[in-house]
Amino acid sequence: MQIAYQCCFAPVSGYLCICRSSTSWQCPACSHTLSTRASNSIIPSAEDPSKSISKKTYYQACNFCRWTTRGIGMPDKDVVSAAWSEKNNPEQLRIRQLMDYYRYLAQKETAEQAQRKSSKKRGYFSTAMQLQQRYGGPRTPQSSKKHPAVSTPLSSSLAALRLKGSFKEVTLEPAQTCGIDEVEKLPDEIYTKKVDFTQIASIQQRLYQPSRQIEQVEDFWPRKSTMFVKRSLRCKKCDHNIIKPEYNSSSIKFKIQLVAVHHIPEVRIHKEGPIIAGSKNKISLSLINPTEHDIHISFLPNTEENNTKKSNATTELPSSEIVVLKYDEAAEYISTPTSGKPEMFDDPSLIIYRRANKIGFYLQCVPNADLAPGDDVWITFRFRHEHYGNASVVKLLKGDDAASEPAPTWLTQTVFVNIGKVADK
Amino acid sequence: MSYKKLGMVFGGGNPIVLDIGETYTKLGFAGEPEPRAVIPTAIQKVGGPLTYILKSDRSCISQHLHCATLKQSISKFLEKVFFKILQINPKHQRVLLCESLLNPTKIREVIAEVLFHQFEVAALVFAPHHLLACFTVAMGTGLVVDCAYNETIVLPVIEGTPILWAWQSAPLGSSGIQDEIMKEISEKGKIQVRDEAAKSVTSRLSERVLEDIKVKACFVTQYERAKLIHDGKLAEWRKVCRKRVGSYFFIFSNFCNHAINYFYNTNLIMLRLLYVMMSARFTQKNVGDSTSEQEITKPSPALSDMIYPIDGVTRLMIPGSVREEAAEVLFEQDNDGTSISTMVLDSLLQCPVVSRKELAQNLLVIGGTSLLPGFRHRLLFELKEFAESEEKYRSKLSQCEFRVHNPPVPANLVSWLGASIFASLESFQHRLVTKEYFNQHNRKLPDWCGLPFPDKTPEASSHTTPASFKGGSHLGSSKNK
Ligand SMILES: [Zn+2]
Ligand SMILES: [Zn+2]
Repeated sequence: MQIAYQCCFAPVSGYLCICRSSTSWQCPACSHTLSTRASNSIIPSAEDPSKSISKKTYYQACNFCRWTTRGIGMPDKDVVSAAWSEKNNPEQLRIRQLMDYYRYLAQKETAEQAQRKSSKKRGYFSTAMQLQQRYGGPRTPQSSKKHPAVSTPLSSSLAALRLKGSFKEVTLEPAQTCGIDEVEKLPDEIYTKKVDFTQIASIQQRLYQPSRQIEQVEDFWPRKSTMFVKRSLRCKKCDHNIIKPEYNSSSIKFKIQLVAVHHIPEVRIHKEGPIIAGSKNKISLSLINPTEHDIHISFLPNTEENNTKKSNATTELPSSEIVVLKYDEAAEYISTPTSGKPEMFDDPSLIIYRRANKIGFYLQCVPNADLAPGDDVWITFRFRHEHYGNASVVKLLKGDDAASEPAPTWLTQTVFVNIGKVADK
Repeated sequence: MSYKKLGMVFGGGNPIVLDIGETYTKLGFAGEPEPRAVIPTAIQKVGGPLTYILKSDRSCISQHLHCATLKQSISKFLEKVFFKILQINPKHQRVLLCESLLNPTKIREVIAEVLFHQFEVAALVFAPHHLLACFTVAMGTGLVVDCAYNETIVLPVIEGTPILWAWQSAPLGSSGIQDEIMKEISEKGKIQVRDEAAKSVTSRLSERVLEDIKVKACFVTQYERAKLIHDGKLAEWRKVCRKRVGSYFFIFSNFCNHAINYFYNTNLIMLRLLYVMMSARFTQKNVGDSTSEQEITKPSPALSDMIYPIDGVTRLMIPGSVREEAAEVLFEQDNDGTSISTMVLDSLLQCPVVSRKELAQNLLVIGGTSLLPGFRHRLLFELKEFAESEEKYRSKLSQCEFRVHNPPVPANLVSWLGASIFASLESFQHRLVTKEYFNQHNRKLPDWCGLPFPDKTPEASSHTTPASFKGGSHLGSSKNK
C-alpha cells in the first residue's frame, strides 16, 4: 500500500516527452501560441448572386506580435477545427533514403563478414581500411590479411540469420553536385535593395524551424506547437504502471501530483479568540505535514515585508523547533493519537495538541495599538522546513543502490495570516 | 563480451545526438531527419546576460582554464538540454557528440566526465564533424570545408579516411566578420538616441547585435567587386603610410634645421647648402606623389546606408559598405596569403595526385558561417580563378573542375544530420566508450584518430564502421598479441 502510493511520485524527467500537437500552432516570429480568430466576410450567395450572405471564416493570429496567417497569404478556413498544414521539408525523402542506404550497407558488411566466403570481395567500408593502411594508419601493414576477421558467435549468428532472411538491396542515387554555373548566385538586387531589418528573419527565428531556416519575414510559416505529454513509466520494484501514457497535459490527476499542497506544510488557524489591540494575545495555529517524512520546522521573523501586504501586529515566535510527524495513510483509520511511535514530550506552553501529522501550537502577538475595533489583524512570519522532493522516488526507482536516506533541501515559506478582527472593548 | 548485447542493455531509446558548437548547439535523436532544437551554447541566469560556455573570446567565462567553472557551466547547460528541451532522462542512454578537429581535449574530457558521472549516461562517442558530414551526401571521397564561428578547417577525406596531413585551418569565421562589422561601425557609424544629435560609436556593441547585423545584412560579394574593395583599401593604406613618412621627414628636417643653425654660426656653409638641396628634393618628390595618386574606384552600385533599431529609442546608422566588406575577412588573403580559397587549394596540393580531381569535384561546405549569401559562389569562382592564374597552383590543379555538394539540410545542420545517420547504424555500437572504460583509463577518452577501443571485437568494428575513424587501423596490432 505504501509503495503503491509512493509510486505516484517520479522524477520529473521521466514524466514527459515532447509531442507535436495537431491542433495548436506557434507563431513563427515570436513562438507564442497562435489563437484562432473568426471573421465575418460578406460573399455573394451561391443561389442568388444578387443577394449576399455573411460567412464566418477562421484564421490564426498571434496575440503577442500581431502576426497572422492572413499576412502570408494562407487561405482562411471555413471550420474552426480545420486542419492547418505544416510545410513539409522537401528533402525529407532523401534523408530517409540515405538512412536506409547506410543501414543496408552496414548490414551487408556484417553479413558478408560472417560468411567469410570470399575475402576478395570487399565492401565499401573495408576498401577504406586498405587505403587507410596505405595512407594514414599506424605501421601495421599486413596485419588484417594475416588475421582474417574473427567475429563473436553472437554477431555471426545474427548475420547469418539476416542473410537467410535476405534483406532487400537498397540503392541510392549519387548526390548531386553543382559547379560555378549552377550554384546559387547573389541576386542582382542585393546591391540596390535597401535593407529593412524588420523584414528579415533573425537567427533565432530561423533556427526555430531548423530544417527550413526562413530568411524573409514574408515567408514565415507557422509551426506546430510542441507540448509535453506523459509517458508510461513503470516502477522498478513492483512493475506497477506508475504513470499511464496520456496525451493531455492538462489532466487533473497529473496536475495534482505537482500541487504544492502535497509538498509544503499547511498552516491553519486552530481556534479563534478575542483579539485586543495593544496587548498580548495568544493565537493558536496548526500545522499539517503532507509529506512522507517527519519534518522539523523552525520559525523566523519576516523582515522583508513586501508592499502589497503588511502585518499590523508584532509577533513573538516559538524559539524551539517543532517536529511534525509524517503523513501516514494507515493512521487515518486508527483512532489512537500516535501510530506506533514513542510518545513525544512536548512543551505544553507551546504545543496544544499532536495528532498523527497534525500539530497545534501557540503564538504570541501584539496588534498595533492604533487599530480600531473591527479592523483585520494580520500577522506574518516565515518558517523553514526540509523537503525531500523527488529524492524518495529516485531512491525507489533506483532500487537498492541508493539505500541511504536522501538528503533534504531546506525551504523557507513566508506566511501572512489574518487572525481575525479586533474585538469590541 | 558482446557489444551487441550491451547495446540492448543500454536501453531501447534512440541515441542522443548533440552537436555542441561554439555559438549554437544542435540537439536531437539518432535517426531523425532534423534536430529537435538549435539553441545558443549558453547559460543564462534569470534576468542576466547570456553567457556562452565555450566561446574562447571575450564573452567566455571560463577561458578554458578554470576547469571547475567550465564543468559547472557545462553541467548546467546539459541539464537544460536534457531536462528542458529533450525532456529525457539521459541515464543509461547513449550519446553521440559531434566535435571539431580542434576541440581541446580538456573540453571533451570535461563533457565526458559530466555526462558519465552526473548524468550517468551509459556510453558515448565523440566523432569529428568532417567525417560525419560525409554521410549526408553519401560520399567516400571529398573535401570538407567547415566554416565555423572561430575558424575554418579544411580536411580531405579519401574513401572514408581523413587525410590528416593535408588538413588546413585558419582563424577565419563569423567572429572575424563580427569584429570587422564593429570596426567599420566605430569608424563610420553613428548612434542616435531619440532626437539627440547622432554620436559616433565608442563602446563595443553587444555580440547579439553584431550577429544580428551580420545575419540580416551581410553577404559575400562578387569577386570583381571584392577586387575593387581590396584595391581601394590598399590605396588608402598607402596614403596613410605616405602621410606618416612625410611627417617623419618634417621632424627630421626640424632637427636638421637646429643643427644647421648651429653649424651655420660656425660658417660651415657647405653643409647648409647640402641640407637645402636635400630638403628641396624631398619636398618635390612628396608633392609629385600626391598629385599622381590614382583615383580609388569604388564598386558600383554603392550600397546604401542602413538604420538598425537597437531598441525603441536608440538607432544605429550603419555604413552600407559594411554589408559586403565585413565578410571579406574570409577571402582577402592575409600576410601569409591565407584565405578560405587558398586553404582548399593548399590542401589539395598535399593530397595524392590521383585523388585530386575527385576531391575537387566533391567539395562539401558546412558550418553556419557558410550560410552567408554568395559564399559558395565566391568560393567556387576563386578556386577556378586561382587554379588557372596563380603560379603556385596552375601547374598542378588547372585540370581540376570544382563542384560543391548540396546536402539535404542547411550547412549548419550537416554534421548533426551525419551524426544522426551514423548513430542509427548498428556499427555505432562498436565505437561507444563506456563509463567503465572511462573510469579505468584515468578519465581519459580514446582519441578518435589513433587509439583503438581495445575491448571491442576488433575485426567486426574495423569493417563495419564506415572507416571514418582511423581508430580501426590500430586494431590489427592489438589483435596480434
Ligand atoms: Zn508572435
Ligand atoms: Zn512500485
